[in-house]
Amino acid sequence: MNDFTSPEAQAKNPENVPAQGMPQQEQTALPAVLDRNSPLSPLTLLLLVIGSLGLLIIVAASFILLNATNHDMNDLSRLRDGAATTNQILTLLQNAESSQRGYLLTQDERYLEPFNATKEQLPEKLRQTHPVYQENPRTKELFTRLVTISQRKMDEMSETIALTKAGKRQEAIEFVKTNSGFYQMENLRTLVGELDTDVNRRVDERFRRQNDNVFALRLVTISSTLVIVLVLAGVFWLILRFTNNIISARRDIEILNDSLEAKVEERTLDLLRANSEIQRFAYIVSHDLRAPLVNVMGFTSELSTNLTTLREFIEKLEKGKDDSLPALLDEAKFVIHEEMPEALQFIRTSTTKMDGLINTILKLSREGRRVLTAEPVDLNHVCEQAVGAIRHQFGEGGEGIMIENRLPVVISDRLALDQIFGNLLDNSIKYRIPARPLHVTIRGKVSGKRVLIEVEDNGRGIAPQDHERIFELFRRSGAQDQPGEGLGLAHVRALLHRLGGDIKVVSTLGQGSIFQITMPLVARKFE
Amino acid sequence: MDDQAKPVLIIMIEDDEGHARLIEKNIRRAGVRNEIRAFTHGTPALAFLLGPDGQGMVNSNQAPLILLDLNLPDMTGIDILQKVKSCESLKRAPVIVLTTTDDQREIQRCYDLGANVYITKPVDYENFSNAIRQLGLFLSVMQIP
Repeated sequence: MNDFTSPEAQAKNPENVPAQGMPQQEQTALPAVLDRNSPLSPLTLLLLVIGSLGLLIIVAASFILLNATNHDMNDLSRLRDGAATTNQILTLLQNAESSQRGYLLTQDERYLEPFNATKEQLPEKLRQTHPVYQENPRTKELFTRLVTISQRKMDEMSETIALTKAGKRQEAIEFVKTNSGFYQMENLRTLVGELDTDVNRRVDERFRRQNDNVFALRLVTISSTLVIVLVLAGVFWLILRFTNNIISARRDIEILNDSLEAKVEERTLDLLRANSEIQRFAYIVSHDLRAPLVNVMGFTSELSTNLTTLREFIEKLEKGKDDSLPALLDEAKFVIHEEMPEALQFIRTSTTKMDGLINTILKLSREGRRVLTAEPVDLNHVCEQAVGAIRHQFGEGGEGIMIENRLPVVISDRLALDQIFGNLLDNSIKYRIPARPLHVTIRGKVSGKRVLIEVEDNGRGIAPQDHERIFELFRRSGAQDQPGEGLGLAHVRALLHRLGGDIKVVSTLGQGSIFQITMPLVARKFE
Repeated sequence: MDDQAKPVLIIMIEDDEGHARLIEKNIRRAGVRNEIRAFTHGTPALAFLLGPDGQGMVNSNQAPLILLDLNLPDMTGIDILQKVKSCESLKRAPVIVLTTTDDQREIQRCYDLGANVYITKPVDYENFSNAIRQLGLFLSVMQIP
């Protein structure tokens, strides 16, 4: 029964399961790890089926073999009983013969008791043994002969006894002397012996079969147990692998999550910085644009005041003679020669200044829009070029710019770096103390994934409260004895921010400044 | 003391020449005749206010009124305000802050530091003149017994 279901299940398995599994893999975009090792994968199903089959085979084989054993045991006891009864038949007949002989000798009725008992019991015993010998034709024939001969023997004995009872004792002895009874008895003995041998053979056969059964049962149990153990090991291994995959997938997700958070944080910081830069820029621009506008408005209103003065004077003039005329004439002269040209001059200066500011803002905006391209840039080369551009401004007395150590090569925007170092070195020339020889030192080092560069000068230095302010647009520090718009350092910082770096200053007023630049060794993707 | 009778000196710290000129014109138009000393940078203004010893003793007998622009080329007006208000002999001097922005935080900061009036440019010159006149008159009353 079980042997029929198992091939079906096995035949189903390789066809159906992968057919279900394949489209599932195509549909889901989930990590392949999870899908491939889902608990219902073809492999797992196969293992489950094999395991179940192993169990079923054990149960079925045990049932069948136990049944066979039981049947054999019944057979054995039946055979034993049969053999015993057959021997009893021989004994009964021998008893009957002894009884017959005794009676013939003594003619005493008491000797006939065993004979009578045999006569009474024999048919029953023969009937009992009959089924035992029906299995094969040889024993069947032997048994038939046993029945016939025992009947003939009983008839012979009955006849001699009957003759004796009838007083024909001599006739009875003569009959015995024919030896027919003796030969029948010999035949019976041989038959019983043969039947015994046959039964023993069959008993042996049963024992052998049982031994075979036990061996087969043991074999089936051992092999099935082995299969189950193997399947269990396979399932255990699959579960372990599946669990491991889940754990590693979760770890991957966690790592992704963490890096995502770090990325979000980084971007948020960038945005916050950009936002505050824009606010600061808007504040500065609005202030610096408004300052000349205040002049335009103020002097326009001054001009209209002047106009009123002139109008009054002309009205008075048209009306004719008036005592206040000479005073008004002086006032009008003052307005025309002094106040009005002054106001016009201020308005003109202010509008020019506004125009300049707007141009500067446009220039900055254009700079900010320039597409940066990352390429290998040798900072040593950049600095040497920047030094070369200002070499002619060095004075006497060993003035100069020294690159202290070999500067690293970075992956960044070349033009931006040119402008950064150009501006810094320009400043060191502009804000030097003329009384002492200028010395500028450039040094750099790589720290992890970042580059640190220092530009140190012995110039006039920057007051502490201006250390941040100098990087703001249009802001300058200290005495305003040099030309400039307050753009350079703001531009430097904006460029460094775009390259993923920053700049700050350490300075002591009157002694010098150290501009400290940090930037990535490899600029992250420019946006 | 005789020195107390000295008129109020107006110290104007304003880097924009045009603004300075406009302020002066309007002060004069309001009838204030006090001497005005103009500075375009914070450094010389502070040097004058605090004197060579940095204690402001030079001006101890002359009450100043300070007109202060917050955006100066070499330092911020806030720096000057802080220094003035932390100087024993100057801290009672009235300070009028002039600026082009109306950033609330900045206004608050100036008042916290002790500024008396905060005026946003472009100014309503009439109100500006009134403020000057009142502070000026107030000072005159204080200084001339």
